[in-house]
Amino acid sequence: MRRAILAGVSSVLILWLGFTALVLWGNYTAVVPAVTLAPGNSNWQMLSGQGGQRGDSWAIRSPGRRGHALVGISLPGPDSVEKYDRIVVRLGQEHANRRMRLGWSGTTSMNPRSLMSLKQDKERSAFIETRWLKPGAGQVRFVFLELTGAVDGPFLIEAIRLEPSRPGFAELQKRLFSEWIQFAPWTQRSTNQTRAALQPVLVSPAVGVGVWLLLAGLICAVSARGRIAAKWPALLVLAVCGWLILDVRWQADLLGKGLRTIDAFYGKSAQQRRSADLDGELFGFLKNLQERVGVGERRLFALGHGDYWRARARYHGLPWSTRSTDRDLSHDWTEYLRKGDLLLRMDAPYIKQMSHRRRADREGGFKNAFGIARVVGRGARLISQDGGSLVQIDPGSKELIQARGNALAGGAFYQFSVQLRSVGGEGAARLIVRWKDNEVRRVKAADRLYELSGSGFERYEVAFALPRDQKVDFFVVTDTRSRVQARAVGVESLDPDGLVWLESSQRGPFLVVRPIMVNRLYRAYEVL
Amino acid sequence: MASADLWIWLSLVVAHLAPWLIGYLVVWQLFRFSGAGSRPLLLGLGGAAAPPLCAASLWLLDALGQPLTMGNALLAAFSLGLLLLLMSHVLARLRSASPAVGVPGANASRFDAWKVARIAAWILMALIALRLLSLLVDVTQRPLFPWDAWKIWAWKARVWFESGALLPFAPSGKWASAPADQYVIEGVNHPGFVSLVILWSATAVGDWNDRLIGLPWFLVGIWSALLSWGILRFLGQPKLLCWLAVYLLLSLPLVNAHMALFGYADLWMMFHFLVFSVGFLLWVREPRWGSMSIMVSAMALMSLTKDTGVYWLPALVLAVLSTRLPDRILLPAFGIMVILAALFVWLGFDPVALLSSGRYQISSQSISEVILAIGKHMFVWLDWHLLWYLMPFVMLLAFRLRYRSQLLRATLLLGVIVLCTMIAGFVGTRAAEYAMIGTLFGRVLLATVPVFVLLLCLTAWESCQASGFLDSVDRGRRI
Repeated sequence: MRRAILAGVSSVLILWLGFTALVLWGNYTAVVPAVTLAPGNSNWQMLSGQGGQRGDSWAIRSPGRRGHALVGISLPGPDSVEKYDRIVVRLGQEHANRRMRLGWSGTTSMNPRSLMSLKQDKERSAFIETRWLKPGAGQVRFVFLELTGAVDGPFLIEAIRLEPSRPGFAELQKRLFSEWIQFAPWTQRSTNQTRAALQPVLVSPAVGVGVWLLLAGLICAVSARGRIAAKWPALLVLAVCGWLILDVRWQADLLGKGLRTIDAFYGKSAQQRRSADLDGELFGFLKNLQERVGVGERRLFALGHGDYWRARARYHGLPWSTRSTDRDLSHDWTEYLRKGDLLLRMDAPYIKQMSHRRRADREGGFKNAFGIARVVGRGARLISQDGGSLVQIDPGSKELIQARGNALAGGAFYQFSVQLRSVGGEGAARLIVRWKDNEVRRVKAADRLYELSGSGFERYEVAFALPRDQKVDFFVVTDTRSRVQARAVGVESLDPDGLVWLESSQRGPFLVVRPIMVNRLYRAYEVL
Repeated sequence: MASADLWIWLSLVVAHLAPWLIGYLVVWQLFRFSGAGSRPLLLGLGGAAAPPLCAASLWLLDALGQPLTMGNALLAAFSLGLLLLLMSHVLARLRSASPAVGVPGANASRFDAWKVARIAAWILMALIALRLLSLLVDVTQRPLFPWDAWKIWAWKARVWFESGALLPFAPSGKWASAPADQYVIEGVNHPGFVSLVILWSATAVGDWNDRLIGLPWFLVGIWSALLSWGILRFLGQPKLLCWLAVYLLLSLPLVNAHMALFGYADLWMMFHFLVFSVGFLLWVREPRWGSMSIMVSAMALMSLTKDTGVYWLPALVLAVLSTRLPDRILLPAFGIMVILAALFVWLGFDPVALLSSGRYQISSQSISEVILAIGKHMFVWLDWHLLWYLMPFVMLLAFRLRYRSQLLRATLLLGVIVLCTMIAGFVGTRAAEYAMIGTLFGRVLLATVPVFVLLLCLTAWESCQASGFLDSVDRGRRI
């Protein structure tokens, strides 16, 4: 037992002295960790201007109204500025002498306290040194990066790196001790790995105790002079001590976590607990939305960058069938949207909400009529059936209907509708609205795909927004599987009150929707 | 409010204790273990039988078109339980073999009589109780927290709960086109077992309250403790080592995290691995149909728990077969297998792709980066305390002592095969990415941890007996 105690104590001393010497006089950067803030591992937000995550980088697309873009970045936890020598910004391209400033804040909200010009370092990095700051710069919770002037193409920021300074003896000991008793709350990483703290630590407790155990075991073995088999109880005592040290620390950590849980959730109803959670605002928004439109069978499309928030919307949105995507609005998926579907726009700056100015002086509508005889597409033919005229297309051809209309008024919303049926089996038809633009030829404004059942005629429709007085082409194309018939084609104006359209690109689609609910973070729309 | 809460908790506890009781009666009837450790062992195995019984009851109700209410579910569970009891009774009558008896060895009794061992056992019990109480706070108060829990497992259960039927799910490719009455899977479409267990809790509560679905995860901890204690005691280990096994398992931070932050399937995988290990040890001790049926059931449950559960089957079957081979055949056999595997790969046949239906393939990875990432999981992060620091020494010691105990040799083989399979799987396929970003390796390792805890305790006991330590105990020497 005495041997075990001696080995244990001496190995603690050796490791402590060795580590302290390495940090004070050796290559301290090998053991004192830098903090790297990248869009993939920390929370980045545009506080002014337009931008968002693009691949592994953060892309600033345009400055805000005051001519600068401001990005706010959260640190994993509150930290001290004095621990770092330099704060380096790594860019995705050469910065070409762009004016950039870096600031920070120690408060719990994202308000930059002071901003300082970055010094150009290499072609793709710039930095500030913390010695330039006033003494006592204090705590840092958020870092801010400001970019001044217009942006020609996306301006990419790869990461911000807080490079550590060499700590003094007292500071090192204080940090070693404080990290040992520093406990992290549960995070989404907790089911994958257990870390000592939110930010990187000097010595992982597992490594510290593990290396101590190995060294103490080695000392025991050497001092036993080959009689190690007889000394195994001493090694066992060391192993038990090591395990208990780690476990006592973990127990304290668990108690802290438990207290946090009690603090946040104890004594609250199910509803209050959800509201008290990280995503309480999203939960509340979706519950209000469900109260407003009813919880009947609906599809909700959650749109935004953040995987977490989209997935949470999918969970809180039940019993609605919620789907989620971070894609732009594009025909390859909006063609499946149906009237009555709901869109939830979250962190999706790539989707713009547009609206018309009301044109009270002009009536909407189209100059020319859409009589069935005038809309026969290529490959289709006009037939007479049941005392009326129909347009019919046989298997193998595609274009059932083709018509051109001259809008009486731009700046309005319309709905293209057609009655269709598939004869002798299932088929599919696509309703397409297209116009020619001054800059971009053939803009596909709307495209909706419908599966047709083999039963009677049913009405299918697609709404579209028309920014200007234009010539508009309407198409109904079918798959080549079946014979499809059409009757009663029409275009009607929609009451523009409360309607807007959503777009990601000037090439379309321009999705006509009705805003239902809005708060500072989320917007809900109903598809027309 | 408080009485309503009490009523909900009461119904929740009853809804979980009733299937446990049925499971206990079934395994008691089937195996008829007696002697030291048999009761905790049967209770643990009964616990292992309870969730499949719950899941099967819900599935049966849905197949019969009956509403998924707690009354119906309990009725179905009792009916299924009765059927199983009858079947096990008939099976027991048909078999003429005597029941397996667990007897603590004379050495274990000598060790148990040692005062220090008794005090240490009490300390371990206190630490275990404190740990379970600490975890209970999160289990009972925190709403569903971890990512995949609400994205996959509980989401499925909630869809079934809200719709009142076990609806099939549309594949993720149909995310935009599937109609409003279909729910679309995002991510991996795992088997439904864990979601059915969650559905059972929600059905007992009668309302979707995701704070009240974590009880089965806590029970998995209790059942794991009973199984670890029971099997070691049944195999003749002293009580201190039985408590040590429970403590080692329940003190591991990642085990605790999965109990507190319920909702993932990995704790269930760990539990089924433990059930397999119990069957494996019983089979090594004395090959019987009962121990074989425990192993087969555990392997089936692994396949029903996660889509990756089935990947373990070849490794586990290999471990069972290899226990029958002496060393002089075993080592060349392993060598031939490695050569054959290399030949298959060279010829373009990919067993990993075959087993995983193309989800994983053998592909070259940056070995140093993967090994570094695996090292972080095992040695740097705080998931395992000192388990992996100690394991190389434990394995060396077990290798030295393997001829003293067939059980020790078999457990060592199981541990080595499982560890090699896992590391090869991560190094040789795109699963390496998950190890490098720190998401999957720890959870896969979690599944296998009971094997290494059992190995540690069996090795400790064998080395204790081999070193003459018991004589020192008898003489009352102080160490």
